[in-house]
Amino acid sequence: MAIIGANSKIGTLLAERMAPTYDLLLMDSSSDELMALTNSIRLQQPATNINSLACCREASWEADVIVVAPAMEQLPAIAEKIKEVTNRKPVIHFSQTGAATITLQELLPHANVVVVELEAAASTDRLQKVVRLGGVDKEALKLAGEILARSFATTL
Amino acid sequence: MFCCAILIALFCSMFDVFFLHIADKVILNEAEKALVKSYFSPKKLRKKQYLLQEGDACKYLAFVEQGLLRSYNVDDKAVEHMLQFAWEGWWISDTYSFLSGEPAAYNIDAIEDAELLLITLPHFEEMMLQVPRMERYFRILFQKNIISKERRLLSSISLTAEEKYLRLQHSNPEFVQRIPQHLIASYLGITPETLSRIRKTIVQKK
Repeated sequence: MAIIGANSKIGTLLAERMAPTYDLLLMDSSSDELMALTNSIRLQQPATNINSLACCREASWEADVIVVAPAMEQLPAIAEKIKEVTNRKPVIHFSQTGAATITLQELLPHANVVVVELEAAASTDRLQKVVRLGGVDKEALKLAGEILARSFATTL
Repeated sequence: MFCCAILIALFCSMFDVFFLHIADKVILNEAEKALVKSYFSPKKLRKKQYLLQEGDACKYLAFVEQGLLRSYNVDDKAVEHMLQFAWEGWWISDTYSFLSGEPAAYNIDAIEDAELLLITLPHFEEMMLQVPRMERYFRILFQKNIISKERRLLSSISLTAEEKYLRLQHSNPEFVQRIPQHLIASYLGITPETLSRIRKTIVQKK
């Protein structure tokens, strides 16, 4: 599973929570921060299978499931780069409520996009609440539900 | 992040080998090509990574754009038995599991880093309905596959190990060049030591 925008607040929270359950491929533009995050997760959870990549296209090409969690203004550029390699793949877009909404499904017409809207939290230490889960593809919706249940089981 | 994407887009498309292979059997127009492309998921597989593990349902029919894969079964003594190899322009899957949804009898993994195009059964069926030329393409492909399996069966029951190796070398030189010797031995149903002896004998005869 690839996490695009792993250095963002939501991306970091997702990476930490998903690491015990899923093989992760973290991606963000700042390689220093990304390496720090990867090393920190490896230190806390030595058994985890986690790697990092600086290219969102490569990460999405390699992954079966793509989690997208960058700052909203970066979304159109990222979508353009990953469009060709996300065909028919589940793309789960995590965003905070109140952020300007961009419909990722329109930018990735052949991907199975699911939108997960989280309630804003003050810090990554505080767990967040899902306020919306939407998408057209049933399989992708089911998968997003499973990821949320496994990664945030204690709070949802 | 701004790296390789532009270079890749400039120099190659991830469907190059795929459409060349199809054009060998049927001609698709641009609209049909665009529709066909929309049914496939591009996937990169690193060396030794699994596409399918025995016991799981086979979800995909895979076309190899780049790299080398193998399908094989492991017996209760942990011995691997090679069923098929697939490189650029080849398809690979556990067909029975793919079509029936039953657990796969084989493992499929990458011998070299690979770039694949994957299609699920529902998308495969939909593609056949929407692009009838692809149905013709797959009919030709399945016919060739049946012939190839019949020939392999016949050679396994009627040829000596040396004859099997020579036939393989003659019909598919790339096979012998590219695939590690112990995997070729497994594919031929002989031990690596026997294959080594056969190769020495062939060299001496020359």
